[in-house]
This record gives sequence, C-alpha cells and structure tokens, in this order.
Amino acid sequence: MATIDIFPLTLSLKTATIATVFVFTVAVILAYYFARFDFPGKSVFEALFLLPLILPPTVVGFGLLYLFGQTGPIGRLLDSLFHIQIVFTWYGVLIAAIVVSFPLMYQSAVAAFSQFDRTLEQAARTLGKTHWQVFWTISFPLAWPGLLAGTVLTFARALGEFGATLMIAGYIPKVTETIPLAIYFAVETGNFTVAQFWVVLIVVIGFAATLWLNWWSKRTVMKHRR
Amino acid sequence: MLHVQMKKQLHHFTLDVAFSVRRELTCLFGPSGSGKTTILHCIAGLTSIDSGEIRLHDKWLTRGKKQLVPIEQRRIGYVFQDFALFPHKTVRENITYAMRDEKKTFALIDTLQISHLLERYPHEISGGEKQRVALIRALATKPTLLLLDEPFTALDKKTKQASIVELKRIHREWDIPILFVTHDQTEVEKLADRTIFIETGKIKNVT
Repeated sequence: MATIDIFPLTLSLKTATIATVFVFTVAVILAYYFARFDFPGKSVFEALFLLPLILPPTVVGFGLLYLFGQTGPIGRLLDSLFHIQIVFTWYGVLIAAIVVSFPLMYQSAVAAFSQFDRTLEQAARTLGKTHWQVFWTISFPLAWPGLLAGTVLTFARALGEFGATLMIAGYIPKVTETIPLAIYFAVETGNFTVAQFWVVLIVVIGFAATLWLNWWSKRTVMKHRR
Repeated sequence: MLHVQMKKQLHHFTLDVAFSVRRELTCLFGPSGSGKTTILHCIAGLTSIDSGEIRLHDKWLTRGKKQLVPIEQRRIGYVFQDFALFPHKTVRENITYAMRDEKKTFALIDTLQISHLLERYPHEISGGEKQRVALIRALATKPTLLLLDEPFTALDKKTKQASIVELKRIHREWDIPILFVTHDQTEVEKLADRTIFIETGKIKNVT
C-alpha cells in the first residue's frame, strides 16, 4: 500500500478553520443588524448574501476568477498594493471556502437572532445596560445554539468545497491540494486506495460533527427551555 | 414626578395624551388596543414620539422626536406583560443582572418569599413567581419610576389578590411613582390612587 501524504488534511483543516472564524465574525455582525433593522435595499443585499448557496459552484468559481484574476478589479488591486496573487494559490482556496460557506452561517445566524423575543433585549436596556452589553449578555447567549449549528455547517461546507476551489485555485499538489481535490484526482489517476482513505476520513469528520452538534444542542435547549 | 405630553401616530389612530404622575399608584386604564402599552414604551424610551415631551423629576427624557436620555440611563423600572425573564439565566442571575442595592433587594426576595427559587430557571417557576421575580429585578436597579404593563393578567384569581396586596406594600416602602396599565376594572378599584381612562389614544377621564 502506498504511503499517504497528509498534506491535504492539514491544508483542508487550516483553510476550513480560518474560513469559519472569518465567516462567523462577519455573518454574525451582518445577521444581527439585518435581523434588527430595516433599510431600503435590504432584500437585495440578502439575496446577494445567499446567492453562492443556489448558484452552481462553477459559476461561483467563474465569478471569483473574474474578480480576483490578474486583470480582474480586485485581483489587480491586490497585486499592485500588496503583491498578492489569488488565482492558483492557497489564498484562492481560502476565498472559495469563505464565499461558498458564508450563506450557511448567515442564514443560521439570522434565524438564531430572530427566534427569541425582542422584549428580552428591551428589558435588559431598561435595566440599565447599553446596546453592546445587551448583545453580549442576552442576544449572543440566546442565539448561541443556532450560531453553533451554523458554525458546524460552515466548517463542513468549507472543508468539502470542491467546484469553486478548482476553478480559482486549480489542482496544484502541495499548494492547493485540499481533501476533495485529492479525492477527485486520486480517482482520475486510478489511485483508489488514496481516494478511499480521504473519503472515509471526510465522512467520519462530517458524521462526528453532526452527531456532537445534535447531542450538544439537545442538552443546551433542555437546560433553559421556555 | 412624571410629566407626559405626547403625540404619536399609530396604525388606526393618533395617540394624543397629557398627564402627570406624582408619588402615587396611577393606573392607565382602557380597552385593549387603546395605546396604553405604547405610552409606557415611550416613557421608557423603547419607542420615540412624534411630538411633545416627557419629563421625569425635572429632567427631560424626550423632547419632540429626540431621545435626550438613552433607555439605559433613564432609571425607569419596567415590568413587561410577559415578564421578559431571561430564559438562560437563573432567578438569581435575573435579579442580580443589574442590581444596585443588594441589601434592599435580598430583603425583598425574603418578603416576597422566593428565596427557594433562586437557583431555578424561569421555565421552572409559576406565573405568579415569575411576576414577583420580574418585579424584584426591576426594583433591584433602584428605579425612580416603576412601569407595569398588565402585571396581573397572566395570574389566577388567588395569586392576583396576593400580588395586589404586595404591590401596594412595595409602593409604600419604596416610595416611588408607579404607573401601571390594565384593562381590568377590579384591579383599578383595588389598587389605583388615581386612574387615567384612555380610549383610542385620547384621555377620556381622570379620577
């Protein structure tokens, strides 16, 4: 049996972790404001946020290639300011993971912030707490089960991203070789042992995460069910 | 002393009222949907008014559309209709969430007989107990005015009787103006020093 290089595992975990932290922060802030305030054009923004979820990954990848390519508006800017290349680098892998997983976190966070009674936040304000204090002591803890579910989905989606990654980062062994890409190219080259190894690993990770999430959320909801 | 003179356009009518509350138990009485809760919201700063002014103990809280004092600095205790206890915090954590006067608060916990409930979560206590916890939580912040929105509606007859007696005693001991909203004539008769009768956003009668 051929030895298996674990580079795809470390790259996938690194990418999914960084993407999840970034997506969590941005999606929670946006979802909190979008769940609380109305303004003109809100639904246009919301549709835009959810677009990567319904578009084929190749279309998302094409869009990213256009934006971040050397002649693309963002790609040119990054190149001239920081000399950063996105296409065919790890940054491309990261950006693809962020873009495709964002809608899942955003949707979960909006639902999480809408599911409890707003009177609770108002009550905390009348008790003398500022917006910021209310967010950390009331809104965030009450939304936490939903936010955590979103985080797990986000991580899983980032870990499993394939189509858009291939479009923007390509398959470069030891550079952009994530687990899903490694599986595809192992099968392409007839290397089924390697493919099987990664398939089993990614199924185990996905299954364990979902199992843990179910167990955890049941326990938490039981504790302070209304 | 609280002075309210405000106008606010609601869905079906304009809320247009002017009244004062001294150190007494004042009742905003009227049928459901007559704008009573909105008045409490405006006083607490949770909703803005279209025009007019709200003053508490000679301090401007709201003038026209402008909120001069933010909600958290108004020192107004608010007991919400469904009590709005934080479901993820125990009774103790709810009460001490913004407590200013520990001694007086724990004395009140004893008086209202909820010491044995301190480690429970809101979903583990009864409606009457929730109401007492919400009342203590509001008073723990040492408010200079107390607002109560239909505080007895969710309670059964016996609990309601006891709560009315308790509220009267608290009013005597804490000596702050209390403004409470109700649509129940018997509550008015048993509790109110003064009653402001409201219908479709206008004051019809003050007794």
